[in-house]
Amino acid sequence: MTDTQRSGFAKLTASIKAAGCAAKMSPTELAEVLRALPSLSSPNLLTGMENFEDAAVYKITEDIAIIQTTDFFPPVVDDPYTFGRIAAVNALSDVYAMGGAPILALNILCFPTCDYPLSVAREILRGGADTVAEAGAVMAGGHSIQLPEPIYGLCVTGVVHPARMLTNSGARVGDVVVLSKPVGTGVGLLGLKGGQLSETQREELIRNLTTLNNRSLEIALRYQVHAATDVTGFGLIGHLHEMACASGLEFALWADSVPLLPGTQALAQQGFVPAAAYSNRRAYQPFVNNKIDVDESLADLLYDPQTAGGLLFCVDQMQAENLLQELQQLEMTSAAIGTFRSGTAGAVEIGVRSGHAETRAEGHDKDG
Amino acid sequence: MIKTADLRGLICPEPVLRTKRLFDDMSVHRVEALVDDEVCVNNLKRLSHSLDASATVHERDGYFEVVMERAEHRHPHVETTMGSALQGEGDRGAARAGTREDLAGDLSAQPIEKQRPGESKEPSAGQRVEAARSDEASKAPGRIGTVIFLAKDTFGDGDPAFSRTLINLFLQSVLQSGLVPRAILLANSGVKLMAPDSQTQVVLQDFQAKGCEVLACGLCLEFYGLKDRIARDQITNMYSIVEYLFAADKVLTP
Repeated sequence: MTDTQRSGFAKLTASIKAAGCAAKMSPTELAEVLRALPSLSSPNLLTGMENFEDAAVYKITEDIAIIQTTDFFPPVVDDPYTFGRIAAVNALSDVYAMGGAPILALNILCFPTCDYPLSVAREILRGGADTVAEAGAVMAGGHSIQLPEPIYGLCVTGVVHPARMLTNSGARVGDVVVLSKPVGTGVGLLGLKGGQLSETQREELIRNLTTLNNRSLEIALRYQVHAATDVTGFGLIGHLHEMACASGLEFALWADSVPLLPGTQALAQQGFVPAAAYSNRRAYQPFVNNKIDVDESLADLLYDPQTAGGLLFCVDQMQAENLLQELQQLEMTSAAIGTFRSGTAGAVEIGVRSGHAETRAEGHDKDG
Repeated sequence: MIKTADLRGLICPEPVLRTKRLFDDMSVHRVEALVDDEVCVNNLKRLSHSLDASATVHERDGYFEVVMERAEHRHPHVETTMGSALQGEGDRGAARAGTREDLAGDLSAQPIEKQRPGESKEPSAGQRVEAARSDEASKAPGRIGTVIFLAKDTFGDGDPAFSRTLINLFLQSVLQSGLVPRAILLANSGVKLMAPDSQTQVVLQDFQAKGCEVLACGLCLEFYGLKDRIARDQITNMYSIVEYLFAADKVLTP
């Protein structure tokens, strides 16, 4: 507990309805809003809105394109410094998902100055600044306003060589997808708020939420990555669906291989499931085909909105094993979670890895 | 014991958390919760499923009522005694299958009992809760009649064996009088009265069959090494015992 938490004001998360990326507008609502907007294009704009890319990429010269992205949300944890770190890790992730390196960040802060001491705002910003520094970028300012509910995030600029930019649209038949972090942060954060996590489960959750995706991208860039994205508010299945849509392929998910944060499956079983997991399910279920009997709590986690989630790397089957071996040297749990094949564009089939005997995926919660 | 909870206006995960805490008391077999939206409904269904309880959802005017009941209480004809444990197992299995279907039907296709348009205006939450209580008058606390509180396994203090015979005689006499107490609460060495090898076990079962709740203090059962031998739903805590004693019109402590 930090000093600020002892001084009698409400917990940061006390009045927050949805934590982190669980606060995103639902995919259905967002599509409805975006439908009415004109789709703008420019020869230098390398990403369009049509594939729901993680960030905008704009070509400056033949060698340099800038990546521009923003992400912000209400507090996910009560400790302001940790909240700042998580929000920054989450915002920076979009740059990594495009294969780039962040160079510059600006703060976006909404803060109720009447309800919390200024030290809380300072701690949030310090968490953000430390994380931006860790990413090797510069924190160059920002904008703040007073609002009843605290919100924090970043606007981030990154750079990438236009020819080496990663999008979610390049997956090929037979490609294997490697996920660089376990899923379950939405359920885990609800459990944390409800005081349902053991100390080790809490530590593991926070460690996942505050780990940048820079090192896993650095490793992946040594391979021929055909497509990439990061797992955020639309859940693992939502982002796999988008990747499958953009690539015109079908994805076969190995439900038994998806790494889960410790304790989250038990929490989902008991009803600690965020609203966004239900809206994600409603939005993506039409594209999902259950080949096996998927355990309800595992399904919840596959649709669970992720905050500061991992990256999905799409590589040739031959390269997947080495990539995975290298990623497993890092502290996060990573895994090969499925493969692309020809079929209905955007379809996601939930099954198990061929050769595995299970006919029913129960998940595999690491006990913690 | 039945608990009602108005969880409307609470932010996730509070509704599921509070319901979970209510069910943590093993003597609570049924929780009637009011919640705002389908997310809460679905989360309470998941909680019920994990607790091996049923969940029935009623859509009210702008909110939902979720009635959750532990498996062993779902069939009123099954005596909830240690003797019927085998039968209880079977019920639990069936209940589990039923709840799974409910979960699979999720979101849109919920088994929701819609209010008929012609029905009269929905009573207030408070009125409805009261109504639910009077339906289950034999179960819920609140103007609850007589409670027998046994904090030792003897009737008065004297020769121990003789005093234990007297307590058996006391319980038999109450039973034969036809006056059924609302609940029999057992604490300290009183919990030994419901041990499977105790001579009073049978009479306590007879009380249960007549709709009287027989509840034992969990801490006491643990202390006397009896916790594993007593049906889950008969284990309560000091908090509930206090609730019963205050709600009772009369407390008998021989």
